[in-house]
Amino acid sequence: MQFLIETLINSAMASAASALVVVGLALIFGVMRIENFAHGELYMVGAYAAWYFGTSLGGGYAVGFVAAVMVTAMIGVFMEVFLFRRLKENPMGPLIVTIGVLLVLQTAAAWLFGVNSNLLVDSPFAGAASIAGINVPWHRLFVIGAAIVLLGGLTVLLRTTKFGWALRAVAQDKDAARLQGISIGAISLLAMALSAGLAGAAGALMAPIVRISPYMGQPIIITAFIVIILGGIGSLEGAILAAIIYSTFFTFISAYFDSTVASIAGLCLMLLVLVVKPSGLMGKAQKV
Amino acid sequence: MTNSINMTRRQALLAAAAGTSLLAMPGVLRAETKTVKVGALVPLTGDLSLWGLPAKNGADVWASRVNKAGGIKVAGEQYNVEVVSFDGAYIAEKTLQGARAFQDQDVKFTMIIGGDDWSALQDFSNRNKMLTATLYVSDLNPDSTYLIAPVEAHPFYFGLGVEYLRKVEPNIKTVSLCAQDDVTGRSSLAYWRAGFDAHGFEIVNDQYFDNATTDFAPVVSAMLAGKPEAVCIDTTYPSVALLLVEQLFTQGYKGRILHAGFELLPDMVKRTSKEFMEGSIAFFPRFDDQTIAQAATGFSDPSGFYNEYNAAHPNEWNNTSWEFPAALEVWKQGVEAAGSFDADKVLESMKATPPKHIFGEAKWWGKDLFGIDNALLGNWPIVVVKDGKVEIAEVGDQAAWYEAHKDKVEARFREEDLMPDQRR
Amino acid sequence: MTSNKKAGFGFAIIAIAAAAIVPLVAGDYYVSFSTEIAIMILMLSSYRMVVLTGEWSFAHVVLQGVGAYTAAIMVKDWGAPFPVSLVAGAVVAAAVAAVLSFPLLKMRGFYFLMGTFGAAEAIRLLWRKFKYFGGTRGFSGISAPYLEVGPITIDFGHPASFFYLALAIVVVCLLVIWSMEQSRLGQIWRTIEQQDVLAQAVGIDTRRYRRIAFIISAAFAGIAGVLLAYAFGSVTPNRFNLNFALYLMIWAIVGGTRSFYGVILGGIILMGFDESLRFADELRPGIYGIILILVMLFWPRGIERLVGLDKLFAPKAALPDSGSLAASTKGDAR
Repeated sequence: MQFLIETLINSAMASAASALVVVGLALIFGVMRIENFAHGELYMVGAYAAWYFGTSLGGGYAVGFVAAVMVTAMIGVFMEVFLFRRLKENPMGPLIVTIGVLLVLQTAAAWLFGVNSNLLVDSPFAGAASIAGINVPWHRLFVIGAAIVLLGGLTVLLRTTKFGWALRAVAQDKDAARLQGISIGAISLLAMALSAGLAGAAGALMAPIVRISPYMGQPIIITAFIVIILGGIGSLEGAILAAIIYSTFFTFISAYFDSTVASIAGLCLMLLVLVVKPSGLMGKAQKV
Repeated sequence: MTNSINMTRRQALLAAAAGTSLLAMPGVLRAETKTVKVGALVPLTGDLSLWGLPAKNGADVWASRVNKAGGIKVAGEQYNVEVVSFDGAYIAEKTLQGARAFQDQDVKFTMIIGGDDWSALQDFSNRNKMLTATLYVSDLNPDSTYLIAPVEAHPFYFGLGVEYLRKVEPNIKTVSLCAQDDVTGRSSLAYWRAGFDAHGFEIVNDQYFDNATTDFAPVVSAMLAGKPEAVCIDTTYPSVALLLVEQLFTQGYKGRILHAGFELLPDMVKRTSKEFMEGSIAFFPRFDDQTIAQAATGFSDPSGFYNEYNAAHPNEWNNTSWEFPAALEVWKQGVEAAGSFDADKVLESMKATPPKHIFGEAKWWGKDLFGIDNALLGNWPIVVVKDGKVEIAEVGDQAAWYEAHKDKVEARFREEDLMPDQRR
Repeated sequence: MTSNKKAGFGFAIIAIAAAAIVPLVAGDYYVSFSTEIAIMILMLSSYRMVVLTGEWSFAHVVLQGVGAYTAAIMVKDWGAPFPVSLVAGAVVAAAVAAVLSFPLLKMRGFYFLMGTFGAAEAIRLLWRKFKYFGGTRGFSGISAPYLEVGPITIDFGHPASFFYLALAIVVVCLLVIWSMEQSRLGQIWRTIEQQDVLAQAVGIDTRRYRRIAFIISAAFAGIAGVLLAYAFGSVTPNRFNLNFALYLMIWAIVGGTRSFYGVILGGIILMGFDESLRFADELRPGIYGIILILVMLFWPRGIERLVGLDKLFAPKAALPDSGSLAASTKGDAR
């Protein structure tokens, strides 16, 4: 019984972390149809920025968090203005460019901070809460809370504001949105800044509980793409739901079997969803 | 857009680019007089550059120290040592490419991390008599004629660790283990199990996890479900070990932790507490330990080496930083005694009189479990975490432990299909 | 057009002749590297068959792995000679592709890309998981073929001999691929890529032709896998991970998939660049990344356009660039 509760709590933590990373990727994929392979590296940059501004320069966790969001959002804007915008005519171009950005960011982090570095970000919430006989660090609970706040805020932003309406319009049908007088360029720019900023926020939130390394974004991106497929392309709610389902599924299988089995089962789950309901959990089936 | 640019100029640009890339290729350098090349064939990029870069840097520092002291003396001639490196990316096929590059450059001694990167090298090494050192004794097999394990006989020191645990904790009974799901993980877990069998422990949970695992909460939950009094996290990668330790702390575990290296101990202490880590057992001493010079008798001036390394590569020290130099010390003794760089002659001479191992006297061993006596098995230190730092607790005899508990090791190896006669 | 074709063959013959000289002037390292390039060219050209139908796949490298594993198991367990394992590698890879094609070809665009990734990664994890496939360390000691006919003995364990063997096999495969592309089959593939609906309207069973492309390309990937297994004497699961699939895609796109030679050129140039950057040690991936970005910014349609020979191998009618992933995501699955 305690094992079950433990596993449930672990699932909640994994879901929150996964949803934070995935939602930004889903956003940019939905709006711009760009598979941003560098998204995991934006998450990595967020963690490094949180360390640099918060710990190394002594600004504290909050400053580090804000800096992480700003730095990654700026990288996002840079990618949109100088790279994606110039590659509109070549559908596969952005994908290659994101891989280029991925390599550059990884190498830069390794070069600036070393591969063997011990960078530690202190959480403002030290200590652990005791739930059902197990210790849950306050920071983990904070991550779950922050994920709920951030994702809730994002939903409100997309559902109630004019920007949100325009963004969803672009995601659904670019040509129709353009006819409505929506500036695709401005929306793309904001979406990219938002997406990258979310990745940076996720990096800063996770920084105190993971190991910061130049390659920390790598394992995340694959899971993120699987989750997006499960959720349905273009659906943020679907991505969040899928993040929760996939993380819980994965956590339970690795706890009761082992994690190789969990990886294989996760991939098979994705294939099954693709075959049975190719549009994902909440994606709309689109016509030709 | 494509039409507006002058075609011939673009062709010229392409030609220039191709030309530059040809010029920049690492050409076959002419062997300079009185320089001998040794090679670090390691991952320099990617996650495992964490091992490869410090190893390569360590070899560089060692070479500069040796050269400053006059180089090495072979058959009456002084040679300077030059370290070359190749990024094998920890992929067997790329590593083989590196071996070919080393062959073209006339490298006399190659060092690899070992594990996943050896398999493709073996035929090539036999064909070209490529003397190679690995950090994983489990790479040895009846046909690995030119592969030696001159420093670390991973996982053979683990037996000593369990013996030590029994000595300091006479009353505990249960233990949980985990390791990554690869040959390294499986062979070392087999050895751990034999150790726990030998000293009267009961294994309450065994876990293998996939290399790509990022969330270790479920792994740790499963390990702790059997209420172990000690937990062994094997030779997990440094970053993985950190996450496992943090999860152990989080999920309320209290007791000693056993790990090969505790490379990220400062992080572990910060993420948990000094009290939590106190008494944990590992196998890699600090080189700024007061007693290092007494333990590492086969390594010239360990603290001097440590200081020079830190000056050249601040904050980049880890366990592999001294393991390649320690392998080079063994090789240096070998070539100086043989009076030749020829792989056959060096091996023959080393086999006849075993060189001094970093932790003292050693003998060639390995036939029983790997089918070849190419591991230099000597003493090995056991270190214990005290007040957030590892300290050498004692130095044990790996071979003696093995001789005493041979049958148990064999039984556990057989269980994992690791014996030489079980190899596919 | 015929003069262009002639010029194309001329270039091809010069290229093959240039390749054949490599072992005479270079050391073992560069000879083996050339073998790798030859294998990569076969991979890229066969990959392009799938791309011609408008799809990008992540499974191609793992299908190559199927060929390599087949060869390894044939050699280690049954001591099969080279020609037998070569054929077996191709057949098994094609068979695996045929089975996979049933779920996968229901998808298109990004769904197909991720579907192929999922299927491929699951296969790769099974290799790692099961001892039958050698586990995480895979197989090693796959001995090179040895030819003994009367007085002639050739040991293909020497890098130069194996290079000539691989070169010959790759050239034959490329000829087959090229003639397929020129045939009616090739025309249909292009039609599917451009105008799926139109193709269906005129009675072409598009999924059937996409399946044919997927299976045939897998057979060639299988051959490339067998060559790889013998070239390195080993097969390890890490050699077929996502990074290699990504690089295959990068090379194809940077080279340009419109023409037969585009991908080949992309493969040679980018592999050459990667190799020539070895001096940069740990900075190498970053420099490579910058090169990728610059190439895409300045020659977004691939290197094939840069050289100015793009009409040489072009099919009878001028066609727009193939492979539009984003465009086909609109099409989605059906």
